[in-house]
Amino acid sequence: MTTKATPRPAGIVANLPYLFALLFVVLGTGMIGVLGIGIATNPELDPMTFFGFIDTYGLILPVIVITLGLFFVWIGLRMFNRDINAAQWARTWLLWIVVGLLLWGVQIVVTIAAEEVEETAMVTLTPDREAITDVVERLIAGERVVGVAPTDTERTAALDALLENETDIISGIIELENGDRLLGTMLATLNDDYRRVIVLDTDGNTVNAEIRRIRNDIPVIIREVTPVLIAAVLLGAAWWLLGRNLDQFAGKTRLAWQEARVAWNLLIPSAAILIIVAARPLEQTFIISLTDRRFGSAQEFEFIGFDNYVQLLGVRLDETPCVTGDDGECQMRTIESERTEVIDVEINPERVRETLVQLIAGESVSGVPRMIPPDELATLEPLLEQDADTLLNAMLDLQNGPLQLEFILAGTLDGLDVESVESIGDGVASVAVIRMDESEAIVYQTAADAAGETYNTRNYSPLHTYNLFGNRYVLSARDANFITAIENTLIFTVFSVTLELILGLFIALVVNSRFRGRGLMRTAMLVPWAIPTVISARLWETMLIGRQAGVINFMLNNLGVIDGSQAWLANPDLQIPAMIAIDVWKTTPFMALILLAGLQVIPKELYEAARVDGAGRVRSFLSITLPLLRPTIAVGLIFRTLDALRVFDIFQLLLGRQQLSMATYNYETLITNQQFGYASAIGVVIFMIILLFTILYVNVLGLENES
Amino acid sequence: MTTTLRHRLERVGFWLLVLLILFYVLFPFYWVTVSSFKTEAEFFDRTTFIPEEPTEENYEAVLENDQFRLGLTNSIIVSTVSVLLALVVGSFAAYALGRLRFRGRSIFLYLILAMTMFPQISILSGMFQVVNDLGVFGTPLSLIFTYPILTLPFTVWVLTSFFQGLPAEMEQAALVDGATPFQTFYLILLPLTAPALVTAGLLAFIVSWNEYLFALTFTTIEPSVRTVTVAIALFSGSDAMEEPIMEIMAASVFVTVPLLVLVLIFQRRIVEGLTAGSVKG
Repeated sequence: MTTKATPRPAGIVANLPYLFALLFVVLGTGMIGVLGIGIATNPELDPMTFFGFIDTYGLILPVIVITLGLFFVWIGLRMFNRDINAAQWARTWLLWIVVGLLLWGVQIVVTIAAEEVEETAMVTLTPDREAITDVVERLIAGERVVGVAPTDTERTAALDALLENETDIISGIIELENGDRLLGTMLATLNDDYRRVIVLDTDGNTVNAEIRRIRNDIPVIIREVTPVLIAAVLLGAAWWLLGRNLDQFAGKTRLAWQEARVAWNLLIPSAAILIIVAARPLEQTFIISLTDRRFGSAQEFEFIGFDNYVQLLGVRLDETPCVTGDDGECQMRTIESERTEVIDVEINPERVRETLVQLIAGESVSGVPRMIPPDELATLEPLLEQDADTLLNAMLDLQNGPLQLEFILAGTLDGLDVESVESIGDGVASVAVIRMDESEAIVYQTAADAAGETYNTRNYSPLHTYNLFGNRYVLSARDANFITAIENTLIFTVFSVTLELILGLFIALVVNSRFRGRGLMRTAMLVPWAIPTVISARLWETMLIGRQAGVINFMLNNLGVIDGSQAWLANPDLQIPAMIAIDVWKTTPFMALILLAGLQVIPKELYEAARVDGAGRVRSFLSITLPLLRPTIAVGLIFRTLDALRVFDIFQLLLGRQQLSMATYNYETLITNQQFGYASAIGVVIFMIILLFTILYVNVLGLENES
Repeated sequence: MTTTLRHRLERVGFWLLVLLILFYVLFPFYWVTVSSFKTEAEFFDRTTFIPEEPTEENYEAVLENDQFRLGLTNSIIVSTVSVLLALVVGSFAAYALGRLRFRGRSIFLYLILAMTMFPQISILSGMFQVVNDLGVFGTPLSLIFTYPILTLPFTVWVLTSFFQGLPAEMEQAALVDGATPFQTFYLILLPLTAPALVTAGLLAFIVSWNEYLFALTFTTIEPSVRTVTVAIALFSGSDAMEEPIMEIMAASVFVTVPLLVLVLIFQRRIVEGLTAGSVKG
């Protein structure tokens, strides 16, 4: 391996390889040693427990440090043999260590600068009289001045007097009752650097005051950063020195090794970032999920194992028997239910006419409230001589006419609860009446009664009731909110992804055929995709509002799909469908574009061949397009499903806490309820559910073979 | 005769379909744009599809709103820095994955692919902790720092598939001339990737610009670093009781139009970027 042919210069240069070898052995052992000593002497880890260790350091960090440490020792040992490849690895790593140290320095600066340290100081201020006069004027005008308490009438008058008499504003204010405090708050408001100003005394021109302000800890920053910078400079020098003296090493640079080294060099930034923003947070989430940590409370928290998960996922199904009476039979109870029925009733024309005459004359009729304005009623007068059908139909056309008619008819129908008048004809009115039905139902025990004591002690609450084979079952959950959130999310996912696939495929097929303006169409399809989700939520919010302004209600009404206006976002039954509609609108174009790309790589000859063979469009769609599009469909499905499962933006913005998705529940638990540990467990469960779906897809759709 | 009639009917039906799709896709944005030029009275009292008395008072109100202006500035800063970070770091990794042979390459590639679907929500609390530990909570850095989880994986993925598509001769020539792999990368291949960089950069920009979850979570204590999406979500007018819906619509249009212009200019590239890797058999 080693070639002795290279002449070795004498002196320090000749010994450089040993120096570098030593450096790396020291670096490697040093890293492991520092970690070990750090762990052993950490006061928070006394007594040392596995969980305490994991909570402080995690697993990723120690593993990386130990691996790198061992690798450095290995590089060092190879450099003792003047191995050129090891030297080049050493050079690579020196550079990255320098970069890492510099970033660490930046982080120290940021961390310390972000820490706000309040300091107290005695200063002499020369207040800006104009600015203070300005504040006084605003206070007199009754405006709110941030940081200054609003004044009462008495003080306002006093301040007004100051301005009127042109007294010196500073001494004037001080003279007032509690004037020094008022002046202090004004001075604090006028100077952003001061948190609080306590006025001590004034000599007319200047004010002596004690102030509280935020101090930047420059000396501390310098003290903390200097060693890091020195290390960076020294190792940077080492990197440079090693680069200049690579000829002191022997052996051949292997091309494959060189390529691998360059590759890893280029991958290290990405790997480092992904470890910091993905692997480490995932690890942290899992670790925190094993504790009962909360924000805000004192830092005491405990390792509670999988309790959070048990609480989150605890469900039970209980069969609830009926409540038995003394005779051992199931108790029954009567249930009343309303039913609307349309029936025909004979109209009593005389009575109707009589009532109307009285109403038009402005008399009151017992049992018939006056609901139609007199001038409108008067239009009926010429019709009074006509037959009852014409008269009543004319009345139905009036505003509130149908309602009034109900009362008039109700008088003629004994004891019937008229809900609406459908039509009038041939002396017969067809009216909808409400009838009460009575039925017998078995009285069941509550789930808590049926399940016994643990039900209540473990905080179960009933979620769903099922009637199966004559038995009744109740599904209960310890955290009904979370189970409901899972259900909401699954419903949302299944419906939105299915609709997106069908609609997307349809749109893709349309756009795939050749027509003028196809490019334009493809461009238009990018519009919903490019609109931020938050904005598309806002956009649909304005379209879905349940008032006149709600254009969706307007259009559906005109198309005759619905009658009246629907409060899409306020009605609990319509909330999830509204979310699905918004998501389908926003992401169908994306699905269509992916499918379109898939359609375009299907060779056209296949379709021609099929046509020659006499296959119709449906046939060639089923036997050519669908099978060849399968991999693309799989990719689209998996992307969309995983995306839909983590839906957050639209739920959070439009529904808040009314209906939760898994993601909004996680957010609410973390930010609103401040349950750090519990929220982390939710995060892990979401991760597992998404992982499960991924595995399912890969297995069912055979994605592996495609990519 | 019947065949031509049938043919014509088919044509008409087809165009009706095309129009229907266009309506579905474009109408919501059209509606909000049109409505943002209406007066409040017109919006709430009538359903009009073209404003009767166009007014720009909603835009004036929004542009005077400090929350909104601050959000706009923060979004521009955060998105731009995130894009640069993703492109620099991502192009390094993509070159390694697309052009170089080394052990562990396919594992890394699979990891990156898996990362493109990583559920951001499930690490929310861990990320919270990491952001806190780094001392950047409540600063724009917290977002610049965390957005790579969204932008980096697909940037690497798009660029890798682009690098793989470049002819091999170019590097071989460079290697013969004595260039190191790294020199080949930034002198020869990087200039060629300009189109892919534009695509990936644009996608990364849109992702960062539209991000909501992290932006909402990491700015809860510090309203002055909110991005524009959070500002619009939490928009409150002078009257705290009612949502300032007219201003929200104006703000939405204002924020979306530049994005749409970019998308329309680069539409072909974006479609290529979005579908990269999804149709390779």
